[in-house]
Amino acid sequence: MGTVGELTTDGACHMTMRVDRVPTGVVSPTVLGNRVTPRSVPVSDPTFNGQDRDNHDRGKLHRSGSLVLMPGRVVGLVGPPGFGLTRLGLSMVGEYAAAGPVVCVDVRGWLSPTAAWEAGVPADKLVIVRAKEPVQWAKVVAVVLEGVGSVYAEVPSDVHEAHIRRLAALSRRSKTPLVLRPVRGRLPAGIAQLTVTPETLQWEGVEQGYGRLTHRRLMLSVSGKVMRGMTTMIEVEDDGANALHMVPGLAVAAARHANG
Amino acid sequence: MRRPGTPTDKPVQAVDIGNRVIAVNDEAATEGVTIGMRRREAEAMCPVIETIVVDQGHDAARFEPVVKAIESVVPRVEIVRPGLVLVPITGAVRYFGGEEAVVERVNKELAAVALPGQRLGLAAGPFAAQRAAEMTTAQSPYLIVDDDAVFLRTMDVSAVGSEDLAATFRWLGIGTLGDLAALPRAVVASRFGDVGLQAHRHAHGEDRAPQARDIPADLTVEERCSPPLINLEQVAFLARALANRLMSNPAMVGVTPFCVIVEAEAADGMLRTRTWRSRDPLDEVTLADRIRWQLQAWLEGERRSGGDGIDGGLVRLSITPVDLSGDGRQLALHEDAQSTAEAQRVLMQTQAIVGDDRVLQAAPQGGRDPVERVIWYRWGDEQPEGERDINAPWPGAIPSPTPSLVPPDPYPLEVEWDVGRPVRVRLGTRWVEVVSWAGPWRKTGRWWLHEEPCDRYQIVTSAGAFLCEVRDGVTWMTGVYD
Repeated sequence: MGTVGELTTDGACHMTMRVDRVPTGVVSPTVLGNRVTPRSVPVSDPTFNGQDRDNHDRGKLHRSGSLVLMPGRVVGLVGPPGFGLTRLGLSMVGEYAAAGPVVCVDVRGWLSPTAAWEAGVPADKLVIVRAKEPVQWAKVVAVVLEGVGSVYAEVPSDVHEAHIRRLAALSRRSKTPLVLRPVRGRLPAGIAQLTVTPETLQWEGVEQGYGRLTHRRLMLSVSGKVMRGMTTMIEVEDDGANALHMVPGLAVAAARHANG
Repeated sequence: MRRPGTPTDKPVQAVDIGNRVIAVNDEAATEGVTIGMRRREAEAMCPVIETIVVDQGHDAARFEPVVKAIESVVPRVEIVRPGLVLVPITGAVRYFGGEEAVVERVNKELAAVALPGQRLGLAAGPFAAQRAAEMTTAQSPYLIVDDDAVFLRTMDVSAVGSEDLAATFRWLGIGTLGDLAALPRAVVASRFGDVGLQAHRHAHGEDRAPQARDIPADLTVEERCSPPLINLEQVAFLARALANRLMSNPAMVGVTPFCVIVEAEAADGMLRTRTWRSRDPLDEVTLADRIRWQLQAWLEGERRSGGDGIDGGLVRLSITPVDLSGDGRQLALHEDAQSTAEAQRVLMQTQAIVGDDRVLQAAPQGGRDPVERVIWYRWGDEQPEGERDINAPWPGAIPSPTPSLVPPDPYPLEVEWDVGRPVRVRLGTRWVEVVSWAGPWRKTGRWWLHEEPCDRYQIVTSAGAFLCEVRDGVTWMTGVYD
């Protein structure tokens, strides 16, 4: 493992500090075809006590890496449920809570506010809009893009492609960041400037009948116009109670295909 | 309050430093001069009008004897502005044996120092008391309100204080505060926002509940002066510095004071204390103004009564915030009133598209399961009280991280078990292997509410992790760790 030092505090906030960590298991260099250059640096904040969440520097993930949610940018989170994309998206839009309400358009009625609070969205800023019907969904997203801080929208499976394209244009015009999370399938090509797709997922803390879920390690494939046609592999650590941490500079894959 | 020497038979207007008319007498009103008009406009309408520029410091000095007179009967007088004070009289009522006795005693003291025309209103809340005082006449200088809500019921809706809001209410057919109070608060709040909510509270005879009068000592800002300050300009600079220091205190982040105590110590050892209250949250400028007015009042007041101002000069000045509230929170860096209004507009429009009950906010509360820990309410409504105490220990609660997706009702999940161990989970049409799991964690329901016991599991598969409950051999999914 190559772990030189590890600090762990008990309780809700699981905090780790690792030096020169070499990925193992499914994210090892062998599995990734030697495209991984492990040069990991500790990214957790050892001063965080898990209590003062509001003042904690929760934006580490987005400021330090490629997953930057800029004003007017459309990000697509594409993948099956269970890979941590909802929490990733909530963490992204939570960065804009200071600019106004964070609106989450919930298609299934399953979105948990608790997860949004954990991801850094203040409770008083979070507004959840339940819209299932595709035309109504498109109207709602178009309206909220005009005046809120940021929008996280699950995309119904049968929404018309033209509606999504119009919303992407509206997001660019109104400078409101938009995160699209298709409930099923993919987004039409050319919509999102940044497309995030999960590659592998590793949960830690649970064994054969004992323990509890503590944190997960997620390998993401990031591509799109923002990445200039390159596809980058990014590893994200999520301990649930803290902000997500990105392991910077872990892996840069060669371009697989030109994209836009 | 009337400024001495003001003519009583000529039109007179009082203007603020922005040259807006803030008060007119009956003669000026007859000529068509109204409050809010620009000074030039009023002078064009009534060329013989006499104009008085407001000097709050001077007015505070003139008002100081009135405050002293009231304080000789009831302590803890709170000045809202020169000419208006709020006096909590609960203790005095017990001491003097009744509300009427207190009011008559105050009225008698005022008659000795104030010019004719003082008005006293007594009610449960400041809003109703002020309205009661406005309704008094020279013949009956005080009015005691038994029931605030009943008293306010027949009052015109313009009493809410905002002409625009009152005009909108009238357009909607709401003519009195009673009509407004009859509307559901949630409806008013969702349509008119915070302003409407405040108006609705006032219509019900409710005021913003002030915090208990415990003075947080660590928030007090104090300055000792050596040599003592002897002129008003020096004191004004000190007031601004203290206001800045108080508002920059890290403990004041997110809150603003609605009430402050100004305390000054003279070189001769005499300690003077006065409380100032504001209906709106005090900021640095308004706080510094009030400190300056008070010091000017002490200074000029002493001179007027034959003294030489504050004897020996000012050696110590301290400011203590008393009533702190988050209501007057300063806007964030990226936040402005316009964007807030825009956000409210789009959310109201969203409500119109999907319905009120589909634009939701949530607040945390206590509970063991993810679905229990959230209390939902419609956007624009007041946040309801949680049923369960969030600070209670809640043993057996599902630990963090919480599932990102929580179905409102448990969702049936097909799980293959092998001697009590989950082996495979069916997701759609395919089976996925269970990689690891934790549990069972027994949850015993409240049998008296017919809650059935269940076993809870965290199941990790190659396609994600789930929170499950097993009841009577049937597995239900209660959360997805997405």
